[in-house]
Amino acid sequence: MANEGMDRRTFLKLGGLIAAAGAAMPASQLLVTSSMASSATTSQMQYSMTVDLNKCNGCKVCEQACREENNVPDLEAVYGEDAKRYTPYWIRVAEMKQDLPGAEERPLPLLCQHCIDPPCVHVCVTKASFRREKDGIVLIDEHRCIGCRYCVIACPYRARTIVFRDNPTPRDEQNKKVPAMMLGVATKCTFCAHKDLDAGELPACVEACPHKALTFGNRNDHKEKVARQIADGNVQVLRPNLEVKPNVFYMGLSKNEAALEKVLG
Amino acid sequence: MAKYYFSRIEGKSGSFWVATAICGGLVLGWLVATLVRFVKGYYLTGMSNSVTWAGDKVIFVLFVGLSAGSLMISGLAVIFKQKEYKVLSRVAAFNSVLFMVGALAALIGGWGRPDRIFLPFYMVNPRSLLSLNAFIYMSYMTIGVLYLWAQFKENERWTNVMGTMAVIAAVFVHSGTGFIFGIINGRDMYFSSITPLAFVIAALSSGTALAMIMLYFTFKYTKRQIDTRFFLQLSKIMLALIIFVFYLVTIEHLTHLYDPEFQFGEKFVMFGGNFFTFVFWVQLYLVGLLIPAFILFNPGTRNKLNWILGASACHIIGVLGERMLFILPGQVLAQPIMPGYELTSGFQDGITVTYIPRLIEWIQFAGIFALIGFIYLLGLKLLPLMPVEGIFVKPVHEEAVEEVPVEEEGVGPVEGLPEGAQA
Repeated sequence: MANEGMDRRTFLKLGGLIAAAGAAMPASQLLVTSSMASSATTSQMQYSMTVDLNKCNGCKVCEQACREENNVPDLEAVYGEDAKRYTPYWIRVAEMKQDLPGAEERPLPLLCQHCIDPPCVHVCVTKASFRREKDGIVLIDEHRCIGCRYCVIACPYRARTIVFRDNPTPRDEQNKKVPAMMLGVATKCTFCAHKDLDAGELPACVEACPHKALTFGNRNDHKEKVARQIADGNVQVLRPNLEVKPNVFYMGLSKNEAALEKVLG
Repeated sequence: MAKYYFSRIEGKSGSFWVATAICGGLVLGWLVATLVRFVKGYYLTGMSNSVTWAGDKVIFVLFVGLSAGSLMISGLAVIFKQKEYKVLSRVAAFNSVLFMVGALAALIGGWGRPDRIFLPFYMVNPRSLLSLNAFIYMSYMTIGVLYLWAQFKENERWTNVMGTMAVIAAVFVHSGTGFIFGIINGRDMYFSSITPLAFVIAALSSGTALAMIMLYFTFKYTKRQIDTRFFLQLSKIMLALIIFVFYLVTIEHLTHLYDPEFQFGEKFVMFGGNFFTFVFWVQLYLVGLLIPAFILFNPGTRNKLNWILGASACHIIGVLGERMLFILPGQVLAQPIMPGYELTSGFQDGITVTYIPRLIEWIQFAGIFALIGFIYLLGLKLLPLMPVEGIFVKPVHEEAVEEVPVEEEGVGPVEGLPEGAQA
């Protein structure tokens, strides 16, 4: 028989250790996560934004304001055409055109939707992406992010990217209130969480919009304009079928349905 | 009692050291390329804001598949009581650990912050499959090492126990990897429940193919006897698995073709006339499935070793194509943020992007493959992995031990021989 040199006890000890190490950690973490999740859903404050597309003319002032406030570098402007593929945006103004004859091109500001049920947070390997309990803002702890890019893949709104290249602007010339972007980790809009939002300060894009197309506030406080706009029901969210419960609401999104009626008579 | 004998290879020949040096050099290249990418940033790669899971992920998934497949082949002897497969159970078990090392090297080397390698072990997110997979992969590798150890110790009982556990772990590992992609409902091309099953079956088929190729060449270069009957048996298993892969891949793509949400992506892949169309029809279906199936089915070729090895190589190339189709089209295609609208922006919204790996990635890819070769060669030299007498359908009997030429060129000291049997 070939049982020499190996005894059952050694094997059981080793197997037990592995199983315990493997099972104990996720189980303990599961308890923590479920309690966090339940408290998050009962949060009284939820910062939200409304985007009035009837007022937005695509001037992109918000893009620029965001870059300056949050140290988001315009790498394409510095390094040329090739850098276009990896230039980060926290808010970008896309042009949308309905797939119909006669439909006009209209601007559509896109940013992190700060979902209540965010896929990026669910998939994050190290819980670097999280939803802040006190106000529902989805943030990234860049010191905890390993740069696996799972969140970038999972986000249904393409709101995230990875920091491909260091910011060429010297740190002295950057906004000191916001940390410098960390190379190799995920990055996205924070609703300018570094500002004192509770005291009434506004995200840079909202503040800068010359047409007052963007409104920001606590959607659960009915004194706030944003809450009334959402309550009016004239708002839509992007990709509602995914049920991630986004907190960026659009007004006038279906304006081109008029064009549809015109075509169909 | 039937028994096989295993030995290390001597590894003194010039070609052994040249191969080891080439692999070592490429591994060094991988380390340097990974360090440069880490310090300078992802912009050196072909990735973009749209394609952030690129070639490194394709290799990761391919290797996880080959690892799981190798382990299942190794476990055949245990689970199905097929004694003749014991002859390859050591090297296949070794390969499974080896390919997992390669897969993890590709995965971690591709992270933006590979210096944070230990974070996933104490910052666990149970809702994230990739986070859970960190534990699954580690447990799997530990089980694989223990399984190998039990075999080295010739402990049949624990070999059986660990072999069974290893096969179960391999199914978990590969299903888990399939789920990483399958659960992404924000991207139409990924969301699928068939993905994990297709991953497992393709892992088995490609693992079998790889086991045959690696064994054949190792045996050939260490001047061991090669028994064609053994390869014939494995090739029959591989044929059945290839047909199953064909079935799963076909029903998945056909179903997607009829679903409005998937239709655009499927048409892009199947009829778009682009690189992925080539991968789909030529690399996956023709080279990866139809040609190997024909070779293994045709009476004129199915019994010839060279044809079987050719079919195996073709199938691995096809499975690589399948992995590419799993990972890349879901990213190069525009995400339907506003269905029914054309979208354009500076952030690549609404466009189909291209991904072409850059030099630094090619160095990394080559290095990962070289890492496999490097550890394999060292493993052959340091561990008693290879059977002394090549491949046998009927096991060697103890009475034949005295005749084993243990000091033949390429064969090192034999493990497990009775005292006095060593030359």
